[in-house]
Order: sequence, then structure tokens, then C-alpha cells
Amino acid sequence: MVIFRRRPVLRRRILLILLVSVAVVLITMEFNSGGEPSSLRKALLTVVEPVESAVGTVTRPIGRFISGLIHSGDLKAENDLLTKRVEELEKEQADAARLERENDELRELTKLQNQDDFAYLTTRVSGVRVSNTDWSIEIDSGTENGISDGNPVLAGQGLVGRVTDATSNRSKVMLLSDPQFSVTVRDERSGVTGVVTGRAEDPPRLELVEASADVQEGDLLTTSGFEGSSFPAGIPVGSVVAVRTDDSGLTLRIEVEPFADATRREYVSVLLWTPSA
Amino acid sequence: MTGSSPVQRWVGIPLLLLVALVLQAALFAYIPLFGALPELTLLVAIAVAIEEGPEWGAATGFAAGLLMDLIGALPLGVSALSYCLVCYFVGWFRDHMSDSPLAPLGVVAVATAAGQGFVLLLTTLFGQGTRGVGAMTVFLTCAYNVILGLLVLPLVHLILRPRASA
Repeated sequence: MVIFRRRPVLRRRILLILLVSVAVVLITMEFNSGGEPSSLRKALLTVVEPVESAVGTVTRPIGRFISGLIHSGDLKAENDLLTKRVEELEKEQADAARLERENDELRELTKLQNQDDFAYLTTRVSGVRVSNTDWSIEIDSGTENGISDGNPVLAGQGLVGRVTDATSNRSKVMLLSDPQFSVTVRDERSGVTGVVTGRAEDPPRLELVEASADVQEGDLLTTSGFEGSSFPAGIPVGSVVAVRTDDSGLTLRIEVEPFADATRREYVSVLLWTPSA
Repeated sequence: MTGSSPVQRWVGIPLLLLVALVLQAALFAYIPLFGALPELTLLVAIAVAIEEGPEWGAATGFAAGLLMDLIGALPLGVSALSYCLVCYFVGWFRDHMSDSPLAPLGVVAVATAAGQGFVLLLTTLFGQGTRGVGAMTVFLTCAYNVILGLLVLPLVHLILRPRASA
């Protein structure tokens, strides 16, 4: 100990090496857990969760209030847009009953499974993105409510992400915009399949589609539900907004606009469905 | 170097970090500046490094990063490593800093950019995708941290050096 007091430079270097080593060990542990949350992370979250929940109950409404004040202009525009959308939906509702009946008959014939066949849980969004590199949200339900890692999360009827860290009363949801997120989709018009991956601030992209494939702007993309897929079939993911040929000329570069944005929502639905092993 | 007592450090710094974490997750996460969020825990760690030097800077940076990794979605240790190194160098640099009152704010801007840059570099190296955070977001986050720094730097100074500021 005396040597450390006499040589502060040595002491601070040893401390730095120690902290860097601990960080590297932690990073390695996370990567060795194969994409799943490590047991250490789960244990730490279980400790932090009640404290964060208690304090957040008081502070979160203040944040939402200030956010509402700042974004009042956006809210008005959003309100106008939603009013217009309601009118459109009321018109579409007339057709919906007929289509549903047809759909039921066809599904009976093909024995297809889609998201309507699974129980879902509507839950409150309790935490939004906490930093610029964070593409996750937190929800107010966990394993005690039947949620487990891998459950798809929807806002309205559109896919927004999947559960990654479910603890007893809370869960983390990896958003569609996370660069680690990917989902196999099908073009509803042409049947072309591909993989939509998140690209953080940029719009998600539909990849692995060959240049000759029939994909057009405005096409609707839904989860493909292939065997072993992380999602059941038929969940709307987004619509195609731009189609270009890649620099190589072999594949298409397709930008996708997601149907739902969970970062502005107060409630989301968790589909109690886990991928088959 | 003689200002704060061990009690001020061991009680004051964890308290500052906890308050910063709560404010980041439950208040500032809802108030983005043109889409960019501040890095309040990093800002507190930078302020501690300026006040207390490289050792406390590195330790506070490590703790701040670890907490951010835990409540965010990054792999555990990524922000901890980045913030730890950045705050170590901030602590080392403070002896070379000019006496201008603007100098600490300049350090906040550069260190915030370095912290974010390091996180992006590590996530890319570890195959987590580039996370697509553009230069404009990094710039806006630095600006946000500088604005908050106007309040946080004197506050940290007040908590860690009550005699000096009295």
C-alpha cells in the first residue's frame, strides 16, 4: 500500500488496467452468451429494476409533460393525420367483415397459423430509448405476466420489435431499428421473400432480394413465418418506399417504412408466442 | 488536489451518478434535441474527472458506462470501457487545461464526442452493427451536453469542493 501512496502514477495506471480488464471480461461474457442476455445482466437488472421502477413512477410523467409541451406542434399535425386516418379506416371497416369471413375460410382450408391465433398482452411502455446508441424500449410487464424472451411486440397492427430481456415485472424490447434486428418477410403482392434489417437512424432495409425480383414502391411486407422463423406469419412490418439496384447489380437495395413506431406510443401489444426451437 | 474529503467522494459521486441516471432515463430521454439525446451520466463522469483527476475519473466513467449499458441495450461493458478511458484522459488533461472558464465546456464537447465515437467503434468491432449514428447526432449530443454542462459542472464542483466555492 505504501508503494502506491508514494507512486500515484503507478497506482492510477494499475487502476486503469484493472477497470479495462473488467470491461473486456464483461464484453466477452455478453458475446459468449450467443445473443441471449447473460446471467450477470439478468441478475443486475433484477437488482436495478425495482429502484428504477419506483423512481420512474414519479419522474416519468414530468418527462412526458415537458415532451408534450415541446412537441405540441408535432402533436397537432399528428392529430390531423390521425383524424384523416380514422375517416379512411371507417371506410375500410365496411369491407373488413367480408374479408375476415373469406380469410377464415381460406385459413381453414390451408391450416395456416397467424398472429390472430395467439394470445397477446397489451402493456404500458415504461421506458424509452435512453441514449443515441440504444434502440430498445422497456415495457411494464415481464415473466410473471407470461412474457418470455423472443415474444414479438406490436404497436397497433404493425411489428415494432421483440422481447430480449424479460425479468419478473419488466421486459426490454429490441426495436425494429436496432442493427441487430432482422425479420424474414414476404411481399404481399408478389410473394417475393427477403430479410428486413434495422439500420438505427436510417430506415430499415429489405435485403437478400435478387435484382430481377418483382418488388415495387408501396408493396406491403409481412412476416413470412417460415419454419424456424422468429415470428409467426402475417404480421405487417412495413411498406416499400424506395427500390434501387445495388452497386454490384446483383441485388436490390430496398428501403422500408415501418408501419409502427413504438418510441412515440404509450402502449404496445406483446404476442405470447415464442419461436420453435 | 486537496479539496474534497473521502466522504464527499464516496457519497457524493455515487449520488450524482444515480441522479444523472434517473434524469437520463426518465426525463431527458423524452426531450431529444432535434432527435439527439444527451449523455448525462458521461457528463457527470467528465465533471468528476475535471474535479478529481484520472483515478476518480476512470472509476466514475466505468460506473457511469456500466449503468448505461445496463439500462440500455448495448452489451455490458461497451460504454463502461469507453467512458472509463475517456474520463481517465480528461482527468489527466485537466492539469494542462487553460484557466479560461470556457475550457471545461470545450473538454465536455470533445470528451462527449470521443465517448460516443468509442462506443460506436466498439459496437462495430464486436459485430453489433454500425448503429448508424450520424455525425449530426454526435454533434447535437455534444451541444446538448455543453448546455447541460453549464449547470452540471458548477454543481459537481459545489458538491465535491464546498470549501473552495464558499
